[in-house]
Amino acid sequence: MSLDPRLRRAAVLLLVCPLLALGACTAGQRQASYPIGQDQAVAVVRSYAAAWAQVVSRQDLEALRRIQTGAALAASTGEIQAREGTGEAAPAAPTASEIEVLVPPSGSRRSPARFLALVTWSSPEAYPDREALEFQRAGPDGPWQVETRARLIANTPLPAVAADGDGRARTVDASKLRFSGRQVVEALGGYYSDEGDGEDAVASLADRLVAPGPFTSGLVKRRKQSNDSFQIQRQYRYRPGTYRTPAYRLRQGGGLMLVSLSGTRRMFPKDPNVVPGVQQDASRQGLGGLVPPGQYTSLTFHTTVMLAVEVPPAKSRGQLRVVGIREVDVSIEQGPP
Amino acid sequence: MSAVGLGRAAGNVWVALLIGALAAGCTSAGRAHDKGGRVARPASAGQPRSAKQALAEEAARVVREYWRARNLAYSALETGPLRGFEDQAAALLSQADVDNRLANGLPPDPSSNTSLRDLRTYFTRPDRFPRLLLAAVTAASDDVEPQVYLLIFTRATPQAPWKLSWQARYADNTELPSVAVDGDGFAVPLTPARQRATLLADAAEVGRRLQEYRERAAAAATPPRSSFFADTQDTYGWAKGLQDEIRGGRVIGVEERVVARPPGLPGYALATRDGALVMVTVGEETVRDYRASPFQQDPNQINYDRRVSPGTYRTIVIDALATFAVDVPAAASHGRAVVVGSSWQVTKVTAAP
Repeated sequence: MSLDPRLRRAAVLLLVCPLLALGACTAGQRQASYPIGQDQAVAVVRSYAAAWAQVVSRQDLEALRRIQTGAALAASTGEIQAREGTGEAAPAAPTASEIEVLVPPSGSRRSPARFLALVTWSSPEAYPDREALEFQRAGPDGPWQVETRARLIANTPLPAVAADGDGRARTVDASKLRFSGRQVVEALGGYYSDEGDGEDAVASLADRLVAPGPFTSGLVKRRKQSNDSFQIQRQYRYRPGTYRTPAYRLRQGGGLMLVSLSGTRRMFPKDPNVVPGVQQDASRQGLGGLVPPGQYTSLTFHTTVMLAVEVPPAKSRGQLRVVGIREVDVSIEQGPP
Repeated sequence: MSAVGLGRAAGNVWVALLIGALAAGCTSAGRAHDKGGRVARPASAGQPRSAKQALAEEAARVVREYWRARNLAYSALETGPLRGFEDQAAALLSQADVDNRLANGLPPDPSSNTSLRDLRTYFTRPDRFPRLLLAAVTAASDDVEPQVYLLIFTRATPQAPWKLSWQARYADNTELPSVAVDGDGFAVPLTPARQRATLLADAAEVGRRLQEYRERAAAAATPPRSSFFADTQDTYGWAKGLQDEIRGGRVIGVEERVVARPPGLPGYALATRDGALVMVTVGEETVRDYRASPFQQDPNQINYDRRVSPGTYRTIVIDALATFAVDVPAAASHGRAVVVGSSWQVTKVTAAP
């Protein structure tokens, strides 16, 4: 029935929120604290950058599994497999030309084993690119691995994370924010999803919760423009992925969260009499290396989306601001040939 | 570089800006912060309006009036509003963008309606013509990532209006070039003779070397490393992308080559602290020969650019124009030229049986 999904999702957004905010639920598994100093964190990032350069330039999936986990690992694996499929040359090794680490206070019972790094990557073949990386460590003897990596808006100040007197990043609990982690992924999943039967109200609600920006309204408008202009249509659907609280406290109030979504992008012809199917030629350059050559009535790409999101303080009427995003195809599902 | 390093860089830029603003040859306006120290300062209030301030205000007005016309033209896909505002490469690029969109039924780009968030101007002495005005602008809107452009306005005679003659999109997340000013605070244009005397190469030579690099990249088996240009997105990165495209074409029986077609447009050079910012325009043809089987443009012109009529073809030729901003070191330097920005547009598509 068409009302069910709307009621279910609206309930999550509107009714469950207070429970989440009161701490009746916590986001994901709470981890023990394995404190790390600023200098150690910088060393971890430098070590990661060196390994990442090797992974990128050698397409080394085994090395990748040592330095990434979760959504980041899924996305990077998808990127490498797609590149292998096209036979394109591997990118040149990037270097971390600027590193800023934001490490929660050591010994804090509220801080899980993780820290944030804001990295500017330089490369001999691309303009500098800036990324928010969240590192995590599963146990005291485990390696630090990147769990989320989101590209930050270009030519814009970096997210201003608040620090204490010792230069440690401050954190903020979800109860002090307008949205919990769960609400953030629900709202963004609804926002990025194309409207379907009975979901208009949810989409409209999500629109009100999310601020305009290049990675929100700009992205959605470009998608709509593409569907308006071309015969091949793309339909997007997203589900909540991972999230964790507390967030990194921002200087102007609120918090910075790194979250993920799982998505699908279904491609199909608008009018099969005009264009009979989705075509991939032998070079695989049109649809990327994950798609074998052929003609398909439809194709569905499964994607992983990683986001850096500024969440307003609890008492404000502010909206979610997406300041970083990376969406990567991780697998495909073919319609009948 | 750490956050400390970033802060230091921002500090250096602030000092440079302060000197520049005092000299009035470089002015800035807009929000009082930006990434990586691209700091802007509001004009000081309550002071008598000097001749230099008047020039700075004129420069800002020229840029803002142009940008309003640009937004109007790009949003309406009609170059009429730009008539009188552009010439040379800038006019050709605008016309090509509009033509491409109209021919293919594409809507205006979302970046066609942006406001100027930051504006820095550098202008040459007002008593020497042609005058040059370099503007580094950050254009932004809710829907697009901020983009930095370098704009060269020229004014040929005291009676002539300012026109945008050249423009290029500047590299993301990169400090702006350190444009030098003379003792009176004016930007220093370099004549071709002066360029040859003081720089690694003059604008004409930089353009020629860029064309040569691009032709060589298209013909080579691996992306060439240039002894003249540093590896950047617009040189090595471009070559790599082109070779991927050529390799992919071969899989389906298409051979592709690039042929230089110099457009004969002037270059510009402004002195920087360690050389010059050189702005050039190049032209080229990309020729695609369909050797395995002819290219079929379907009756609905879905397969390819709609400037190609329905039919069967063996060759498609794509004409393009590109502008490049190049940081060229001094003649005595051992450094290489660095391409720091570019814009590119297809100007014509033709097909032959």
